Amino acid sequence: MRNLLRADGRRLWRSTLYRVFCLLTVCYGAAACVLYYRNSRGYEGIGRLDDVLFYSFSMIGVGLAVVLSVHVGTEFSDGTIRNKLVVGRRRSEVYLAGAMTCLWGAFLAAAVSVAVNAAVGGVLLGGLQRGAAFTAERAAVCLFAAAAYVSFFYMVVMLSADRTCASVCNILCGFGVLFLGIYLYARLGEPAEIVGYELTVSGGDMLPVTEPNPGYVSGGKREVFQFVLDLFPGGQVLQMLNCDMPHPVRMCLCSLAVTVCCNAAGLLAFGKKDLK
Amino acid sequence: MEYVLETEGLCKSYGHFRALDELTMHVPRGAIYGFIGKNGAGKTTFIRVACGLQRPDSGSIRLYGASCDAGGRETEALMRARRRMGAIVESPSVYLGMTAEENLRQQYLVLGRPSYDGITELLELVGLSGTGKKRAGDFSLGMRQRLGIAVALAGNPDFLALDEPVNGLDPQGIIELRELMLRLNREREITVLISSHILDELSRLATHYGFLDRGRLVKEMSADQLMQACRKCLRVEVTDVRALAPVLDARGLSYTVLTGTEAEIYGEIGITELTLALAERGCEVRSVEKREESLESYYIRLLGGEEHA
Repeated sequence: MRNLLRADGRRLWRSTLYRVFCLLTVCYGAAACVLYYRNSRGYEGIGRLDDVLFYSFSMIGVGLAVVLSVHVGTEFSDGTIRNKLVVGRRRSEVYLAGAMTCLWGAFLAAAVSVAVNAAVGGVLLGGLQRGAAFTAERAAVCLFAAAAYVSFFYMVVMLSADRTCASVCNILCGFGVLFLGIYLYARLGEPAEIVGYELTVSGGDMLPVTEPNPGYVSGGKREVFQFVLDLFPGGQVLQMLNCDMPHPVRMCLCSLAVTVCCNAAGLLAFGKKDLK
Repeated sequence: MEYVLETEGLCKSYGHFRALDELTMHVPRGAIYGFIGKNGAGKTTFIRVACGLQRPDSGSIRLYGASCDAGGRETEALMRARRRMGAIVESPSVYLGMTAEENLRQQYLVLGRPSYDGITELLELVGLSGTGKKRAGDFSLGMRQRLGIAVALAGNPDFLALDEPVNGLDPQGIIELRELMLRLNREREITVLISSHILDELSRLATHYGFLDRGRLVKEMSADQLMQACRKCLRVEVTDVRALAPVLDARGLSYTVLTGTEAEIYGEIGITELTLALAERGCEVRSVEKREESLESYYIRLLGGEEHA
């Protein structure tokens, strides 16, 4: 296992695609800091480091989908996964070593981008205002979400064994989860009441009138929406980016469950899979 | 005889298609075992199963004496035995984005070798020492094939399984690969299992043969046994082959009529006797040529000429 980890780690570290991904993630986060700083200048109370510290995570799902599909898929398209099995490496070892390497790669890219965001944002926007505990919660949500993304994408590649097919599937899933999160977050963000204005007969004045919002999600449906938002990493990242995490522990547990389930299912299926 | 690889009643199906059907074979230690069969006969499936890439539906496989457990799962002993093996299945398994040396370094890490010593020698052995920073993706097919063999040799294996290694190679590449195989077998005493449907090429290499048809091993024999089994014949050209047939029938000889004036006669017959007998029937012998049956014609005779012609 250690040998496989070293081999996979070396390949990932030397991968041009992975380096480009890290660079883009860092640049994306740093650019977001600069833009946020420019837009918030002159507005009192706006422009905190907290808002941009984890900004690079907004597109991490799609980025990981591309990188993992191509990087891991190469093992199948070039046929090199055979070199590991032919020389007596267990399938479970091959699977787990690959998964751990991808996790390590995702965490490293995330850590570097957060560090750069902290440096750039710290200079432009000052220090954190929400406290270390809250930031640690957000970091934990990020890491668990990244682990869930990696586990799912990795499982898809290892089981499909077709790089193109796996890439398309993963990218669609990456965007799908992101858009689902955006939709659910927007629906849950609808106010319970909306304010309208009514023209009075006497003087022609406009008076505010509140009325129930027909788009407001309530009751059991709201619970389901919130659960789905907490379950998928797309929703988790969205809540984390907006510093609006009602259930951080539940989010981490959901990601952990996704990670464990994907890896268990992947291990089981890969162990029985006929390889070409 | 000591066997590197033995299988007993090996079966593997893809849906309703039976790729391996009760396959039983034996690869002796130190042999170059030619695995012969037409496309779809099950050669690649067998090598995949032997390499642990696919699991057989039933039957047993024994590598260096280690086999699966009763439930068909691979044992620790079998996994250890696999470390003595190298293989190329269908196409060479190399990272196209890496150089030859990087590919070997990668395989050294997979194998857990303590250092990168020996990479230069391996590259020299397969004739890739001058490739420098050229990526494997820019290699010719022959170079990739040789790099694949170098990767397979990275673990100093005693047994090499090669699936159609000469496919797509130019004549020069085929010759180089053949010489490499022979060198590995003679100098390093590596047992080689080589599947191919290019019979002429195999006949120059193999010390043992296994003939595969529809997933079954039809015949397994050594090169010496094949030599004995290959029928010797006389190819005769006469003025009228219709006069030849009754002469041969009268002597109980088997023969094949090729054209109206040519035939192949199997078995012993004196040329004078034949010439005199034909002269009595007003037939003249134009030429006589002694021939030996080739691996190709033996294969066709063994597996059915009409179907494989």
